Amino acid sequence: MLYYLCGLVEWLSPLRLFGYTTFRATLAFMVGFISALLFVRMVIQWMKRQKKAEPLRDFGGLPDLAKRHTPSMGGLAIVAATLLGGVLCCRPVVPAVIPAVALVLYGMLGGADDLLKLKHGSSEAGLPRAAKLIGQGGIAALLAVFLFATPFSPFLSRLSDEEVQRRRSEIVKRLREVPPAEQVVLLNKLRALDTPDMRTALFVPFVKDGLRIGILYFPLMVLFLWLTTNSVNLTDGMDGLAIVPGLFCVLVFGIFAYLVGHAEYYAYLFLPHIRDAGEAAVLCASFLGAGLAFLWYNAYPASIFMGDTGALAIGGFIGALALVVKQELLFVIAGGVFVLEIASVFIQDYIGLKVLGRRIFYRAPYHHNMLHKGVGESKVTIRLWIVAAILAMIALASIKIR
Amino acid sequence: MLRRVQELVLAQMTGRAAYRRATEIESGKPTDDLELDRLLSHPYWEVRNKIVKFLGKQPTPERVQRLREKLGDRMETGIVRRNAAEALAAIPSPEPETIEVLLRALSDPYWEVRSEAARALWSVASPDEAVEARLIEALEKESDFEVVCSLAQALGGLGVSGRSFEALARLIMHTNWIVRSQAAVALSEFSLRHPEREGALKEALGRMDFRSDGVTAKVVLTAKIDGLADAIEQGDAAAVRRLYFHLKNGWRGR
Repeated sequence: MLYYLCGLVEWLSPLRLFGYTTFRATLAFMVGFISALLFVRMVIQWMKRQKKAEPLRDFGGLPDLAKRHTPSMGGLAIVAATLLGGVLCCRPVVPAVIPAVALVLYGMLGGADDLLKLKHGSSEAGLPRAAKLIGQGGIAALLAVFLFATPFSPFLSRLSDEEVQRRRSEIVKRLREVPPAEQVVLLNKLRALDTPDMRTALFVPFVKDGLRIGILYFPLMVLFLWLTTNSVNLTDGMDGLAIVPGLFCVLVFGIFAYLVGHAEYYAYLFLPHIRDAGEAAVLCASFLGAGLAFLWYNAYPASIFMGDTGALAIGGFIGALALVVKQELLFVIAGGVFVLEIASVFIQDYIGLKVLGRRIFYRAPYHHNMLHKGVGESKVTIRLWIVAAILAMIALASIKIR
Repeated sequence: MLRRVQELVLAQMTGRAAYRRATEIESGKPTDDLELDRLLSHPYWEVRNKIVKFLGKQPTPERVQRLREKLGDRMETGIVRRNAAEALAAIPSPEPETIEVLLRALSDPYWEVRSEAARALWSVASPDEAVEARLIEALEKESDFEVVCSLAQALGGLGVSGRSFEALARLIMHTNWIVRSQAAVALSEFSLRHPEREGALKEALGRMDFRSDGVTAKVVLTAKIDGLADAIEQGDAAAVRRLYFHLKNGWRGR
């Protein structure tokens, strides 16, 4: 909304700032942070008034007595604050709307699950597994259809043939005039003009060109969103464990969003060009603010848990972001901690118990394995934060090394 | 691996009905040894597992023999072997063959089997020099912390000489606080049977390293040592034995 204030620049010159993505991103961060601080307190008070607390899960050890009566559903505050920052600071364009819709829909699904658990006072009394799976698949399919089967797709060029022709001639003309280093940038711009449809392109980290995988892309996308939502949900088992790697992940995809949406940087860095993706970076900034405010309360020992409301919303948000900036496979690196957690469950349950008939780890997900071996909870959490930070740096390295 | 995949495919084809039947048997539906034998050789390990658990609940000499065979069969699935050891732990006054099979299981390639076998020995064996020697030998080779904990527990209950005490006293300085805690309980159990060791016990517990990788661990360790002090003062062996961790349920217990 605030973007439109830059239209009044003739009356008040400083309003031009609202036209800049970076300025609005900073503003979104502040709005997200301050509003989340307030919203989290509201959720804590509401949960305490309702006398509701997270029914703790048991993965083989005792639910920690110290964590009983801790309010849950803190994810509500993250969702609300991110949306508030987004609505105020973003332009309403598809690359920003898709992650926001994912955040809300997955948040609602997780919220329904949390409310059922709270109502029945048991971690087993949430949504039935099939209902959850159908819900997750349905939302993923909805997003996929919107991104790939409608004319609103940001991966389709909106330029007319005449405009493409005009730009091409301009680039070709400039190619002869500029030094070789700049020629590379112009050639990449030319390549972007020649690929008006990137919908089914799958970009591999550290590789310049995307792979065209056709219709296969659609089921892969649904599977990918299932992976991101469930991996964050599995990671959410200790104070601050899910939110910090989530923040690192969103930071990485936010930077990518800014770069792939920028008129010049994408060409310089050999990234795909995605129209209006910079607005997703503004939404990311809002999420980063909201997430940090949530961490203020969720840090060990937690005053509130995010619940499935937060875990599914964050997973969906990260998944949708990765899709929007065309860096799906980068999640394996940027969200490596989440992948490690879901992989440990898969290895334990399917390869270990189902196929080999033995445990591979003492416990799964992996953070329970470390806890079981006697490592303190805060140490486990901080070690996994360090891993997440290193992986985020590696993911960022793929911006230039490709 | 290939064998397991083959089992899994077979299980998908034939397993469901057998699994349902095994569940019925486990919950008390009548059966006979012929059916039990058939289900014990079913390709689906979860069926065999159910029957192994059942055999431990209603043991006869033949059924105990089946359990011994399952525990000793290294081709058997790890979890079935582990549960065979656990089932044998529930059978009072075992025959020497059972003790021997449990002792052999201390060198099983799967850590859960070794751990459960050591705990089973602690439950059913009597203090004995030969058993003590095998336990100390296993402890010296062991690197898995869960198994070390179970071996410490077994030495606490079955040790007869100063060798056990020395081995346990060394574990008091172990890098893992769970092992240190288990060693402290084991030393106390051992010392209750050997009152002449009371001074050495106090000295060993005095050397206990309370540092740990987390606040929770320090709290647990302090509570454990306080509990031990009370139990030793009252000479209550059962209270000491209750202070062991059963790591199958996690160190926080169930």
